[in-house]
Amino acid sequence: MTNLNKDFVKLTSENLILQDIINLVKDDGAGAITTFNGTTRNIFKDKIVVRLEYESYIPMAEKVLLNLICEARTKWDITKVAIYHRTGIVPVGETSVIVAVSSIHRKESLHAVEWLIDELKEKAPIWKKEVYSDGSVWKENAENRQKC
Amino acid sequence: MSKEFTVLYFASARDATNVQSEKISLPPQSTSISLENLTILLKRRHEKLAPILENSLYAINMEYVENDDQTILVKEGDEVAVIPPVSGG
Repeated sequence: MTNLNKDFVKLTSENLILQDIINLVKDDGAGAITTFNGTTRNIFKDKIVVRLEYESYIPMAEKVLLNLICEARTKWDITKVAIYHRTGIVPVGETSVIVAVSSIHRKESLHAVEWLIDELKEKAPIWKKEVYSDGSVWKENAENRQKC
Repeated sequence: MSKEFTVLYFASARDATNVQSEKISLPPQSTSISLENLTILLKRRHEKLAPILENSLYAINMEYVENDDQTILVKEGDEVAVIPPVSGG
């Protein structure tokens, strides 16, 4: 899903390659590109994670993420934004999410990336299941949207 | 023909119901249902869903709604999603 070739949002079962995402936000007028690359961990509270499975309400997740980018643009002067998130089985050590932002000066993209990943973790309808050798658990992010 | 809406279940909610989505009829003679009554109805349909609904949010047509907002009504053709605590990233 793209918006005027400035905003790129995708939930995908394919491998995420950082350089490909960087290329999406590259802009001759931008002096900075900031990226966040989230990877899956192998241990949770002494339990060894065999694999992770991500599930998403994809059309809503893409809508939520595009709205977040819109909101970020009201806060910072940023040029292009890409948010890619994996779905399905993600082996330990692989990238599960990439946020990339370009801006004329570095501060804007540094702030925007931090804010976007925090908001994604709180609001995007995406779920992670950790599969252990002896069972599995649907995770909950600490920054979860509180039920009112 | 009864008036129907769709309910989508994700993550722990899907595990509890064993279905990804289902069409549900509005109560006879009514054109909408409140979130409070929706919760009662879903708990009746799926016993295991009850504890999950306590910690979940609803989204109607891909917009989060406040569970205790009494002005919100689910109508014919709406797509309601049960959104358990999210864990993206």
